[in-house]
Amino acid sequence: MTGTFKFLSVIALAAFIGVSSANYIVYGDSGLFKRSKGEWVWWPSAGSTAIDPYSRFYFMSQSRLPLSKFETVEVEATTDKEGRPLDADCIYQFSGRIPLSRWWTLASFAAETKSAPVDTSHSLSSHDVLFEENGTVNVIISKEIQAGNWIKPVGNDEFGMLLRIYNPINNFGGDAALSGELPSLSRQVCK
Amino acid sequence: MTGRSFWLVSLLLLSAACHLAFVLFGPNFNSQNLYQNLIAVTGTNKLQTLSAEQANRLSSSSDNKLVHAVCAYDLSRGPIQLTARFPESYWSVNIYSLQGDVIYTLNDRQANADSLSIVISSSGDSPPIAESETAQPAGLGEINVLSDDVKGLAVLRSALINEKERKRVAEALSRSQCQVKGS
Repeated sequence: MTGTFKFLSVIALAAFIGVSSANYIVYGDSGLFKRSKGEWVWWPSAGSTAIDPYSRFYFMSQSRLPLSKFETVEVEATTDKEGRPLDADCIYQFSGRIPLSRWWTLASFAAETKSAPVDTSHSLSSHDVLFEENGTVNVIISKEIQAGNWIKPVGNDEFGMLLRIYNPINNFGGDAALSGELPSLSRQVCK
Repeated sequence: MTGRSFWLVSLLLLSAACHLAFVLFGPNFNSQNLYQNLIAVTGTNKLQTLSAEQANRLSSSSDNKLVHAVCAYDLSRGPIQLTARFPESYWSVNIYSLQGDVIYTLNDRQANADSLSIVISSSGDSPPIAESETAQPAGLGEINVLSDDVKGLAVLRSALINEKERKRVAEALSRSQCQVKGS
């Protein structure tokens, strides 16, 4: 093997390893810069001057401006509570108690592009949701319109859910707002 | 060092360099794109209230339960004055560096006011001060924010209780201004 061929091979392999390892840290389950609880994940340093390069990479790769961590907690899920990818051909129930906060919004987005259409059927907020008597929330996520709280998934394939909690009561800027239970996403039925 | 060790060490060092370059410089392309796309809609040093479609197109996953107004600032012609007026519902001001880092934030409860004035200056134009001092408490007149970057974004967000309010909230936000200070 000639030296030139070896040199080019090393460069190609190094580029592959460098990019793959970065993608693994950003999108994989390394847990180095993102936190998770059940099906929900979040980037604790996003939305501050102390943002780490991997969190910045995650948000900017989607051309997405993170909200300030001192006033908003953003958690997202692309799987149900069993770890299966959210599929637009299935019906899901989002249920549980949202951490105490001033208000919150829940929206679906396309898993691949992270885009979220403007159509109001793809999102709900604490202003227009119907609460259970015990303060919990149940939302059905389904392509077909449902009675009660309903969100339509984005697209026809895999999708994600984004929960934004504005002005959480517990500890602005920390993980304490998420120390309690988060609602679960459970699959009901698939076509 | 044997030939095999040399190539192995080279591979490790080059992999680390590629990893760092990808993570550190990759987002710059997207943030520059985001800034340029916003400028195409809002212009520079002007505040523009975005429609829901514009907000969604320019920044993915933007919350459509909010009305957004954006000023893409450029401090090369001097400090920028952001005079913001808000509706009665929840609002927040976020100032971003060109890389998309939040460098200043304030919301209605912290400000306890329905209007405020923020001056954004380049940190290169001022003596260095501690980061904690870059943002003065609200309610004390003009708020001074130092930016390490010459370019960045100021984003005003205000909550919608329901979709019918969008026009009213957008009109309230559109009374805000962003311009070179003293112009």
